Amino acid sequence: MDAGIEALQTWLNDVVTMGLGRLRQQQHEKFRDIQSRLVDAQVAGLVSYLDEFSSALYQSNWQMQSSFWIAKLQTAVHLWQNRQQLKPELYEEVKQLFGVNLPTDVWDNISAQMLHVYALGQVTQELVNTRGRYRRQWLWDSQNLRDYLLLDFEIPPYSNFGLTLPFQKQLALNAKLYPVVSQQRLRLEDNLMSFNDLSLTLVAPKGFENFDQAFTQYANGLKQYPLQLVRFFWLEQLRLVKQDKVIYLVDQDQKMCEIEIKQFVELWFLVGTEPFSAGVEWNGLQLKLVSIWQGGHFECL
Amino acid sequence: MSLSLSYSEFNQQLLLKLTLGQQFKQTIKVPSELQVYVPQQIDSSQDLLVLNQYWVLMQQAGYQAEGIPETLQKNIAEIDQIENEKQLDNQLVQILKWVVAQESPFLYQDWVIQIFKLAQLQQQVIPRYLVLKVLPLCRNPVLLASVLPEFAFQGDVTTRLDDAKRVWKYVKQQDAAPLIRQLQKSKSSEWSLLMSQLCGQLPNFIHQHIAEFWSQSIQRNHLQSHAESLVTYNMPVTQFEALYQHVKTLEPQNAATVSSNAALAFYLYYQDNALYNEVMALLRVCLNYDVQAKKVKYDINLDQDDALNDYGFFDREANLVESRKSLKTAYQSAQVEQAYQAFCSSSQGVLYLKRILIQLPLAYWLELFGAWEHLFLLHSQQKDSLWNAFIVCCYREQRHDLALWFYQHQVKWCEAVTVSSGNMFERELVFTLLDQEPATGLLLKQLESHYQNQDVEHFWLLFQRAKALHDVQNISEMAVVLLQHAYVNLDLQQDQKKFALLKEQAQWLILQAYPIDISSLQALFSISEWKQLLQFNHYKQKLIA
Repeated sequence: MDAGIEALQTWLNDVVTMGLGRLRQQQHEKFRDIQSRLVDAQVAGLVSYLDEFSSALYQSNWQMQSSFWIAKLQTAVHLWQNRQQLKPELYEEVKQLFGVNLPTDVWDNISAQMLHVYALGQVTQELVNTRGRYRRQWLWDSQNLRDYLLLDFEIPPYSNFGLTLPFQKQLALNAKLYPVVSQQRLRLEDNLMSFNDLSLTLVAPKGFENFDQAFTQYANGLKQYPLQLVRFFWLEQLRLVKQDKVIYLVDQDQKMCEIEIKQFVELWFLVGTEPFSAGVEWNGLQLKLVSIWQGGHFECL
Repeated sequence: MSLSLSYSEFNQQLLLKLTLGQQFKQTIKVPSELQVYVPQQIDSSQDLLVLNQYWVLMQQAGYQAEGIPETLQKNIAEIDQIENEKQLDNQLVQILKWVVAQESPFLYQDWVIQIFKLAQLQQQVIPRYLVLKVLPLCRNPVLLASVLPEFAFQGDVTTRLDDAKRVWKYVKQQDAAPLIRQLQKSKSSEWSLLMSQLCGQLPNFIHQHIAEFWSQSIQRNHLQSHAESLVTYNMPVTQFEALYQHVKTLEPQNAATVSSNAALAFYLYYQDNALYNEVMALLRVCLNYDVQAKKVKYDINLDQDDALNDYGFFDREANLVESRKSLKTAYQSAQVEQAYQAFCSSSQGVLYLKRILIQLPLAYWLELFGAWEHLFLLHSQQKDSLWNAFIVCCYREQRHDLALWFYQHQVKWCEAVTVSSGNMFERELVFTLLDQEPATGLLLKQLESHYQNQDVEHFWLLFQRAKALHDVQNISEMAVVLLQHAYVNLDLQQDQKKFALLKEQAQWLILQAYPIDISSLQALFSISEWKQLLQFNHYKQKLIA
């Protein structure tokens, strides 16, 4: 793995010496080469960062986005080079990011816990280099205002997505947390819960009152785990606003954030001019609307 | 809001350095906050990478939402006003939500329409979030205009609503201009569809505005033949006199103007125009009823055919064009008389005759036949076609009395389940005229007799067409019994088609007829469909109670 990381460091130095402008012109072979070297060195997990970087080069604000992904890659290199000084949970998280799987017996030593959460969103995306898809199911702990993640993969014909949790209801889940520093990703235990217990009355989950609470939580997460990528937030009392072709969500403090959304018209009809609660994904760069809840109506977008 | 705004000079320098690489020679001024992590002087590419790393981390950690500009704040406050609209009852909302969540919601279009009609009746609107999803399931802009919330028509965010919006503007804001413009622009098929919907559902619009666009749009779009069939099937002359008043002002000086106004039947029904007597004189020469042969005899030479064509008696429908060609061929034949007789007794000849008669007022029919009873004696060659034409004429003049008289004497013909010749649609127009006493009483008796005889087919045919009886409780009860009986006798392995038909009938009964206990129909539906239908039935029962 050291060889792979070393190659990546050299490659990054090379890129900034050359400049992103030139990289845009000859990116294909440049990326293919380093990606295969990472796979050979068993650091395949970072290949997806490189994919993100290469597609960032062609976004509208490409300079911003590219510098974001260069920083992520540099941080990964930096953490690996200083792995001796890392807390064990952080080291474990970095290893998993790089593509090292947890030994199965690790799970026996982790105790399951009961989590009271809402399933509030689901995002499915294509895998870049393999046929298949991955899925993020977002769970929200309404009491402690924090997110949990269920990540699974579908690679036909070998595997299908696992259980899809019912939206909108408060669930009591029996689950284990991955033994890493971010304490975000869950593994469901077999004796999940009994779906009969689902109460029929829908109580809207509590969430953050404004964006700044959410961003503060994200910043705290970065302190624990500088490579933290996507987090999910549930925010209350938002409104949808469009100005100069840019779409914003406005919170109760009259502060706004630009969101990424493909189908504005659909969303406009969904929420109208009235306030709504929403689930958003935040990766430190872009805010993505995942689900909304208004009155008795919930919808995952 | 990224920190890059507060550190914009630095941010710009850094991005430029990253973009241009070695070619960027300026010294980057590193903010003091970052000097803890990187040297003051950025020399190597490694320094640059680390600088960028910490700067991005700092931006992520320091990210904040931005304040909203005052103009936007005002906008939000303005929109805050709450609209006073009655929301669709929750039971129906639940059914709509179920429908749009199905894999093929199109299978449930009838449900949606029926729910919309209930909403319209109670002046309720559907929730905003369902608007775009139900839109493809309903092609009726008049219905949509009344059941969509005002919200849908306020913004200009989507063109998908345009049709309904034009109707809405007319209904709610008395602004007919957009609708008229659209009608003038539409292509023929769209024009026909929209016009027939407007005739049925907004007759006032036709009354008020027909003059503004009728002749214009017809001439511009070559819509004559569509307009003719619109008049024939959707605009009873007695109900749309405004159209006549308008076309009369166009002063039909000659035959050509009549046909380009596409309203021949109107000119012939009203007699106060210059052409009426000319046309009648022509017809009296051409047509007469032969009591002995029980046929309408017509003696039409090519000049007369031409004259009738000028008046607009013949449209461009392919079969009719063929008929007229055959007439011409007959006249070119060596034995003209024989060939002409052959033409008259051919189906093409009958179609030709029907096309002439269907335009004529019933007063003329009576003059031609001498007595109405002669209609029943018509030779089998002409019977089906001329009876169809007769019914269309009854509809145009809204002659409930004649329709009843005809139905009383020709029940079997009117209730034919399959029609070998002639137009089913024309034949069924008779039922639209049987909507008042004593006709409804007669239909009721007829239904009961079908029920006694377990004649499911005819029972359904009649029930579905007899709109006046849809809300009669004991007919619904009979229908359930018949359906149940048919289901018990069904061999499910063999009769998939019959099962589908039964299901369709049961669904129609639940959606459209008087709501009664329907539990015996459960076996025809899936569990989730049944849950929705029960809900719907329950809702209708509550509405009536």
